[in-house]
Amino acid sequence: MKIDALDSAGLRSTPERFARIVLRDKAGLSGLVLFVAIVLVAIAAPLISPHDPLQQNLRNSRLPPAWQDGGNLEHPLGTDNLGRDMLSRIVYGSRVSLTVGFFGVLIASSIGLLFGLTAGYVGGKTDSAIMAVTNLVLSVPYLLLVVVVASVLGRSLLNVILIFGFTNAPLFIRVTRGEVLRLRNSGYVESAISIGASRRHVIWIHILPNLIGPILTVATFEMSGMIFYEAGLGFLGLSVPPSIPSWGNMLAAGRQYIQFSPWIATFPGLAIVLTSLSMNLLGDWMRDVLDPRQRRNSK
Amino acid sequence: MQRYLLSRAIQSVMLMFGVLVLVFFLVRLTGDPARLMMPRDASPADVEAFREAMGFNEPLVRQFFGFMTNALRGDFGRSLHFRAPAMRMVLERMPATLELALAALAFALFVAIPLGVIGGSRPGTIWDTICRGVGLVGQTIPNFWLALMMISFFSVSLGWFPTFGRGGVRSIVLPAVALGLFPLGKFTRLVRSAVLEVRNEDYIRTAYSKGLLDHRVYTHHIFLNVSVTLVSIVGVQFGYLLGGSIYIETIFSWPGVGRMIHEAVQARDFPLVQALAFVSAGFIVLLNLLTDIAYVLIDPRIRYED
Amino acid sequence: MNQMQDTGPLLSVRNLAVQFNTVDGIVHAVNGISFDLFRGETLGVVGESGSGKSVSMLSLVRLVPEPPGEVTDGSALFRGTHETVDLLKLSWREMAAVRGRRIGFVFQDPLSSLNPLISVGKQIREVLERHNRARGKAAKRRSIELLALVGIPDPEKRYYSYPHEFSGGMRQRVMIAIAIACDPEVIIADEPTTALDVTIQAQIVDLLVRLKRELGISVIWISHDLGVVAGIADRVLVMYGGTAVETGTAETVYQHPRHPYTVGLLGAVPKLHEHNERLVNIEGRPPSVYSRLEQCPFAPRCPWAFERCTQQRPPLLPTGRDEGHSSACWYDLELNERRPGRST
Repeated sequence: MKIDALDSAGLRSTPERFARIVLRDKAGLSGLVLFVAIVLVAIAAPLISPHDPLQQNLRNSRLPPAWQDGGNLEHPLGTDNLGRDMLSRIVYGSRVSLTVGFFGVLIASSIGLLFGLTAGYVGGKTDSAIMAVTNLVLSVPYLLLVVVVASVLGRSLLNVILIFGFTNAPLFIRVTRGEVLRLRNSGYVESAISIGASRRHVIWIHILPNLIGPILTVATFEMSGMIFYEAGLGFLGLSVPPSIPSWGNMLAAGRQYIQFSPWIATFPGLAIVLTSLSMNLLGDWMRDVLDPRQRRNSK
Repeated sequence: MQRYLLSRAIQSVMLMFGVLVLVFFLVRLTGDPARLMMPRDASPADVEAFREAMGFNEPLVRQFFGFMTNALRGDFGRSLHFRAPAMRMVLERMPATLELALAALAFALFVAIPLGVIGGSRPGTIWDTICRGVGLVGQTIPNFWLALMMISFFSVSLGWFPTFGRGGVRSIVLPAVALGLFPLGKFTRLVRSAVLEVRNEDYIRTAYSKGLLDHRVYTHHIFLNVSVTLVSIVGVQFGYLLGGSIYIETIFSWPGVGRMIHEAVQARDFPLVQALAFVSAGFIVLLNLLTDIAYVLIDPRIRYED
Repeated sequence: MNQMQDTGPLLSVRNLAVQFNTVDGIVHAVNGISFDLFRGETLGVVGESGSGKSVSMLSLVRLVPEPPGEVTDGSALFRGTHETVDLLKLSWREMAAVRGRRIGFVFQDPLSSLNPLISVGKQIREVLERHNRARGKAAKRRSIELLALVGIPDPEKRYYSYPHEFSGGMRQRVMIAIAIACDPEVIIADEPTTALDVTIQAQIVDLLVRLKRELGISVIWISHDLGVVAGIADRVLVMYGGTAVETGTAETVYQHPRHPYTVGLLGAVPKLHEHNERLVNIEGRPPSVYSRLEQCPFAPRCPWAFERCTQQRPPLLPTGRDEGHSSACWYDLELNERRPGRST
């Protein structure tokens, strides 16, 4: 009877459906808002931080946050063991985290795309070789690998980015290869090949556009992971040099004073949690919107 | 079945071989392992003497075969710092790490399985929301930060648990909880979605059609089928626990492999690092093999394939 | 009540209505159907997919997932040997005691309907133990007997086999063994042969017919295939759009169909020996019912439909041809005339 009821339920045009999914998921939307806010903070760091994040003042060291006894509004989140302003350091710390996350993912996904596409499309021995190396790297405990490489290479922002870029590439290779294999065996690619489409045409027109969704989704989760692991490396004293304010470095300092000045560790940790939360919400949401095949289980 | 397991075993051996190669080249990443392993203020003469002693000036191929033959005999050289055989030192630390990892795993499974089953069997209810929340929390809270916060609250403020060290049941509670939170979130998510999926299977309808009551359907049918998925991820997560133990053992001064990794890396004690990496990777590979065997035991469909 | 126990139908369903509460609105899947199942007979329930045939039968025993499914109206008196109960008023626990013991089930796809991780022996045994028919060694012995009874060769060995080690037909035999394990009074067979090879279908039909006769079980045989039902059903219930459109003895419905939909279905069955019979194609597609039915659900596809058909839903009325033959149509196919008036 009500055939149009059925149509309005699921078969309407894609942009409209897209908009509906976008607006329905409040969690995803709040993730997006939070993430944009964090990016803006990182960009505008010099404008919004009340102090120079490197300015030491030993007389004001380990001031508690403003709402605790002994705190003041001059340093809303208190100061660290060297008297540096916590809020300013957290604001600047977002720059390290986002830089590492962004460029790390950029390198990892580029390598992943290149080798994953090659492995999946060329197949045969090339595929076996790429996947052997990929599986080898994935079989080593990830954190151990990162820690060892970081300690061999030494502390610098570039090294940290390179480490995350290369050690995360295998995951992107695996995802890309899987998608390419699936797409290659799909009816429309097979028919494109059968009517004589060139390899370049097939890759650019039929395969690459379909890789964007899955890779973007993996990238979001991986970026969140890198921010996590960068802080972890910093905590172990293996990330950027101590002179750069980063959340991991702040946590490492906070650990020494956890008994009497817990806020030194609390606030950078909260910053990590918020960032990671925003990216995870965003990632779940993107998986829903961009990758309908996975929707059934993700929610 | 035998053929399947045999091929997996052969793959594992080859993987371990690859790990050895990786470990060999990792310390040569900068091109000069002697410089890397010596203190920064060491004199050029000392570095040269060290290079000579370690055989780093020999041809790379020769170094490689020397390393491999020794490694296959379980000999990773002596720790530069402790002057003791590296392999033996690592194995001595293993029990403490296993104890912590197993405690964390038990904690994670103990909470995640009931929670995931309840959430998955009642989609859309408050339990379901809690389930999804726990999954998110596990993924967004770094374990090293959680460990610090728990020390600050439960040990310093309340005095319920010791702040560090290994000894007695109470000393393992905080490290195990901190380490177990991430797998807890993962397991909860996984169990929930697996239950959601399995309960719509035709064979579950058959189970109900036999007149079985909910508890029997869940314990004998749904959970059995969910466990297939669970087994596949427990091994992977155990590997994560070994990595996470680097932080947790450092924070709680837990005398295990994780803390040793941190100490060895800081002391630039690379023979020890190599042994640690090999043993950890070997453990993961072994775990994957065990996962395959568990699969075969649970799922008759794999047993049948030949 | 007592005198009815011997003469009345084993199961009488009246006015059953089932709906699904979905995010896109309420779907009225079953809109008030009534039927009887007599002792020892086979009732064929026929209709296209989406006609509500499976939903209506499975909702009687609450095997339709709730939510989204919901039985909104009706009664289903089940006259057992000891007591008469209204199935729709039983608690979940009471219903569970009926399922598997007094009503057995055979489902469409025997591969997905058996738990892949549990040996077939255990899956049969489970229903025996649930209803206290047998335990321990006795349960195992009985399970092997059942496997033999449904024609599985080498049952002692096959007891330990897993579903994937069986062929489709053999799996369906295992399902039947589970269904008859506790000597039920009724078996609901939901398209039991649809997923099987044509050559196997006949074997499964024969097996079910034989068991029904030997064990004195009543069978509700759900099928979209009139050809299958023709040979086995004593009576037939034709469903369309969640309503019963025609019911009667198999012979009457086949020889003298009175509802245009049944006529169409019969036309759509190719008959080998009548090669010049025209194949009637039923135009259009079955309705998806988002609103409560106010008209004849078949009207949009019916070649005889007239004004009244879209204004008022026809009730199931006796045709007078023979006892128990009823049809829900405003058009009298026999007299070739429209039924007058607004009276029912």
